[in-house]
Amino acid sequence: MSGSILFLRLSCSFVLVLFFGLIMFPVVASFLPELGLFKPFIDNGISNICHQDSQKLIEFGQYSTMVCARCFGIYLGGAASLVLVFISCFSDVPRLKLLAGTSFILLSDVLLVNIGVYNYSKTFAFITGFLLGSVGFLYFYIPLEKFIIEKIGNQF
Amino acid sequence: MKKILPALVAGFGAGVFSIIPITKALACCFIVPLAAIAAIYLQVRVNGEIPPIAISKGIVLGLLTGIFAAFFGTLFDVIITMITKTNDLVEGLPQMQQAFQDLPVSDELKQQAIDMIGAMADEISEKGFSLLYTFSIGFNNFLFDAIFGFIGGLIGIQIINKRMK
Repeated sequence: MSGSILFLRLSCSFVLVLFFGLIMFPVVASFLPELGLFKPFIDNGISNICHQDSQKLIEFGQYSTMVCARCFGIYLGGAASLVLVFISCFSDVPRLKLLAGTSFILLSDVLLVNIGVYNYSKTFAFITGFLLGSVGFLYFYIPLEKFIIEKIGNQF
Repeated sequence: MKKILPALVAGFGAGVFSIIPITKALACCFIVPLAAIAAIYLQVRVNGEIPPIAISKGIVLGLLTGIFAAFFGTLFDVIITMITKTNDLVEGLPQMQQAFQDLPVSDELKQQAIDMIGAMADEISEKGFSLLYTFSIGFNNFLFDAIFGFIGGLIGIQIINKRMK
């Protein structure tokens, strides 16, 4: 593995860890109460990427995530894919049908819940998000690696 | 101009969707990447560019789409706030104040934060405009939309190149 790619993978891991720190902020703030002052601002920022409906958040004891189960699944799926990329399981993006399929499953779940065919399930929402997140991440990350190799080359 | 037109059109569309109440929640993580993909598609269709398109071009188009979406989204939000003299901040103020009360920090800090947000809400209710609020939503929109536009550009380039091979 070239230095530039290792650097990109480590940078992505760092960004993901930071991001998970933000979406798990109430848990983080339970260890560092002084950070609690930032919660409304982080809440406001995260409201851009998730509706944050309190009924749909994942709860860990008395704390809950800052994003809904579906979004949490998407980001966790992305993190899982990054781990797989790290152990070199993927060198090219998966087939387009896989992206279309996982998108269809997620959108179907959203639609069926909204028209009242069945009730919202955090587990379902999490799984559909996880599937799309893990495939979608590869569609974003692998071209980024190709771009870095194209521009910087293999040396670092 | 012809080069940025696809990003401008797609960004404008995303900006419009970002102020419609139902689609608002999806604006950043769903609509902006879709707009970036649409911008790349427009680049192929309107400007007659033949795939495969370079990844760097997808990144630039995606970023531009995100930036335009943020600009139009912020602009429309400010205009609507000016007309209606209310927005999410004013409506959610009591809950926000309650959230501050529950925070494990000193009373002085809590009061400062509550006063600052209260002043913004007052300005919006009276004049329909708050510079601090505009800056805050503008910053948020530009940051998140640029990131998701970038992601959409990278995803879009793969989709378009694969489909039009």
